[in-house]
Amino acid sequence: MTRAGEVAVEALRKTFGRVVAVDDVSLTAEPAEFLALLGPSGSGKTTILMTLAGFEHPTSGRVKLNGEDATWWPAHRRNIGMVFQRTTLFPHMSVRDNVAFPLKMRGVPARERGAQADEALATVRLAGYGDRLPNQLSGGQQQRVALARAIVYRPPILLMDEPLSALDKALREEMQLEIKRLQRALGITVVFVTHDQTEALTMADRIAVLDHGRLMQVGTPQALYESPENPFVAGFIGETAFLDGVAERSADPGGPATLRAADGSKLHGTAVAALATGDTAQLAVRPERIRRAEDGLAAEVIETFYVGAETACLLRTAFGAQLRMRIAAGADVPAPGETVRVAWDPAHGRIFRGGA
Amino acid sequence: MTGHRVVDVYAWLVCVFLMVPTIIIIPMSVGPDRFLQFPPRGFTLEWYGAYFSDRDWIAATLFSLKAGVIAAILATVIGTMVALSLVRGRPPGRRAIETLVVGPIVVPHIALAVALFLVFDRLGLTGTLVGFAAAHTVLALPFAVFSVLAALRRFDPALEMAARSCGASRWRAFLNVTLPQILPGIASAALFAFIISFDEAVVSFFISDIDGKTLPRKMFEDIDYDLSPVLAAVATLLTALSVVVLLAAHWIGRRGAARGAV
Amino acid sequence: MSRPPSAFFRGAREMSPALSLLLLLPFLVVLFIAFLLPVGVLLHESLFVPAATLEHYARVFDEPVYLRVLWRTIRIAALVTAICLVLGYPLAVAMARARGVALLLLAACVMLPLWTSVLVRTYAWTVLMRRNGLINDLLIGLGFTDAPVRLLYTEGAVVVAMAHVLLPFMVLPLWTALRAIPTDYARAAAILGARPLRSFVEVTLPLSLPGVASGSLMVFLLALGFFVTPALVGGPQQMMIATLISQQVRELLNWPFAGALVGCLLLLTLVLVAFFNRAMRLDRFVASS
Ligand SMILES: Nc1ncnc2c1ncn2[C@@H]1O[C@H](COP(=O)(O)OP(=O)(O)O)[C@@H](O)[C@H]1O
Ligand SMILES: [Mg+2]
Repeated sequence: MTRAGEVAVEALRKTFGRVVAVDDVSLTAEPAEFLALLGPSGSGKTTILMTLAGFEHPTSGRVKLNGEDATWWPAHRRNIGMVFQRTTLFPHMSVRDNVAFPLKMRGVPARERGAQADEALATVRLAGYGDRLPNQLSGGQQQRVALARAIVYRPPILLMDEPLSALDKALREEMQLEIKRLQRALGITVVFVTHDQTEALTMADRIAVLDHGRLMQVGTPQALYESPENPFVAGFIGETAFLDGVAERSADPGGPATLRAADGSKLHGTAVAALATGDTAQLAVRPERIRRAEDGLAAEVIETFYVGAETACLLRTAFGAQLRMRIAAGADVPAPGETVRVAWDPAHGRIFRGGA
Repeated sequence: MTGHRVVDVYAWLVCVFLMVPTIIIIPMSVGPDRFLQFPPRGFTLEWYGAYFSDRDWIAATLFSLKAGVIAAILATVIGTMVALSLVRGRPPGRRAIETLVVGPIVVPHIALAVALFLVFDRLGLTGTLVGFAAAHTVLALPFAVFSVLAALRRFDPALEMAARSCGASRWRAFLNVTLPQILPGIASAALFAFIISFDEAVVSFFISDIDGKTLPRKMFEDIDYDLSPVLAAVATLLTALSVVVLLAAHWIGRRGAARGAV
Repeated sequence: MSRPPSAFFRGAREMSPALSLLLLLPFLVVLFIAFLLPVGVLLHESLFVPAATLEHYARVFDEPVYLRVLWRTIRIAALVTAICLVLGYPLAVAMARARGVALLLLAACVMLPLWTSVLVRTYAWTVLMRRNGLINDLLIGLGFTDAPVRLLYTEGAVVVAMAHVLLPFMVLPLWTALRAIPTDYARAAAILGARPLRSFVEVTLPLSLPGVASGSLMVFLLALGFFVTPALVGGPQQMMIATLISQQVRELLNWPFAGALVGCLLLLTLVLVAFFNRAMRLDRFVASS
């Protein structure tokens, strides 16, 4: 059965010599979905994308495009669009000829090619730039041309490998919105590689988090942020404090649980996986969930940082863990050296088994 | 892909074409026949012995060695000065200087050879070490300049500024920071200048005389008049020298790269 | 207070014009004495001996013998350039793609001949092409011919030996140009729908043209003035301009006419270099990446 725009890898594994670049990853992007591959450098994002594009072939596992097994198809027959990290505009061709290139490869007559290329340039707001050479454009404009070239032949799938990482911050944010707008307008499936969590959270419908070639979690930005399934995801996305302890009693997945820290303090949260009494575990909690409470955990203020809209407070508990707390502008700011008591809603303290 | 395979096979065949004619001389040089045979029928070092005991061959070899060493030193020192001036300075008439640097490469060697012959003949410089050193320095200079220029361009001038901000004088900063960094470039300049001079045939052909002739000139005469197997021995020795020079250059290059990476 | 930072930075980077000139002085002296002056004297000889005249130049073009030599020189140089391009381009492509040991071996095969004396390589060809040489042995052994064929002192011999000697000068600029093309270009072309051959024709080939231009120019120029190989492998029937110049100087002592021949060769060289410099500014495309 074919499903235009569906992209999937099944049990994908890719090794380079002894390096396992991708380790048993299964992942599907639904038609018209914006899927981000997020992970630290070396986590295998590019390798997955290269396998989708046909520049690398899996050691084992399959690649499916539009519902068909495309594992061994050569790149030029895959009919997908791609934008690379560094500009790949052909320097000897005008901007228009660059954009028309894929049409030429598909046998579109010269006259139509020019018109369609100009139209694609207009959609990336570069109408009138067709006669220039690529090196007469700025970095942002070059990536917009690359985008136009990747969509001019209306491929159902578009791959992007950190296309904005060479741009400065303001331009990057502008391009993020523009790419998102285009993706919606065209109804195209996008697989977008990035190591920038903000970029992934802003743009993606769903995010796949990778580490050391393994898929750690896939989900909507909100699911990843609110309900990370493992400490890696909790730590990689957003800011998180980890507090170590042992389970006071057994707990079911999703049920309430309590840890006892080294000094006997009790830490209340929600078990992510089943816990048995005495299991070592970690509680992860985000700074914005921490508030001051009379009956809470005692912690010493080490330092405070004024950051405009709020003040960040660096705390150290009696058992040595560090955590941050945010204090809204106008509220009372404790002085360094002072001891404060803090707490959080147990629903926001996620407890993972294992840990330091 | 099959296309790539075809290109690779073709490339290796071209490499065979490049290498085989020279390499095949090596086994021939140890054959006993007066007429070189392949494969050689037997083994002898007779022709190598003949080379080392022939006064003419040895005189020509020593003459070439002397000319090569002098030309290498002159070309390297002068070339380094030119490169420094071009990279660090703003000499007036820069374009003209750059044109002048490539001049000896662009102008056909035969033209320079005949011109030098005319002038040297009138000045009595033919067959003299001075004449050869001057001519070969000119021929080697472009390559010496390129080699040092490349090293200087790789070198980050901020390092020298850092040294000067630490209190080093300009001269000390150059000696202690810049020079060690560009030394591999200077060393390969010297190496290539030497081999250019040592192998140079055209100018040598014209400005040699009976008493002062280089090894290539001596080879030229022998190939033209008397194809003795001693030539095969000499050719083998020269090929071995090229291998040594190339390995040395490779080694210098790697050391340079390793140092640059630190 | 110390100087402002900008002056400090400029001071560290630049030397005074006087010092930069001083550094150039030995270069200028050597080049003047052993390059500009001799060539100037020779050209002066061709124009002003016995009196100011163009008769020596006219003679080059008036006498069919000399015109034939000139024409043969250009023809052989062009042929050698074409052969080097055909042999060298795929080799450079393979080198640009190769990694590790394969690359080292390929590069050695190009670099070693480059740094081996032209005489050694020419000598090798005289041995191989002799009447009872290895090539004739092979031809007879394979049954192509019954009796030894005359190979040495033919135009074919000159062309093959010159192509062999000059091939590295073609491969190196081609390799440099091909290596500078990012691999992502070929990938981009592929994902946009180009088959490998199409991607080569549309992208790689045009981007390598600066290398083709400089390699061809280099080989052609060297071939025009080549002396050693044609003199030893070719016979009187294959005389090229360098051998003619040598003959005029060494046998006939006709300096003015030799000067005129050198003048023609120089003029041809300079015109070619100037033309390529102006017309082949293709490098600006590659420079952008
Ligand atoms: N062609 C290759 N040869 C050898 N190792 C590779 C190659 N490509 C990627 N790797 C290795 O595979 C791992 C994943 O790399 P990559 O997919 O580029 O990660 P990312 O894009 O997430 O930074 C890294 O350890 C990298 O060194
Ligand atoms: Mg990557």
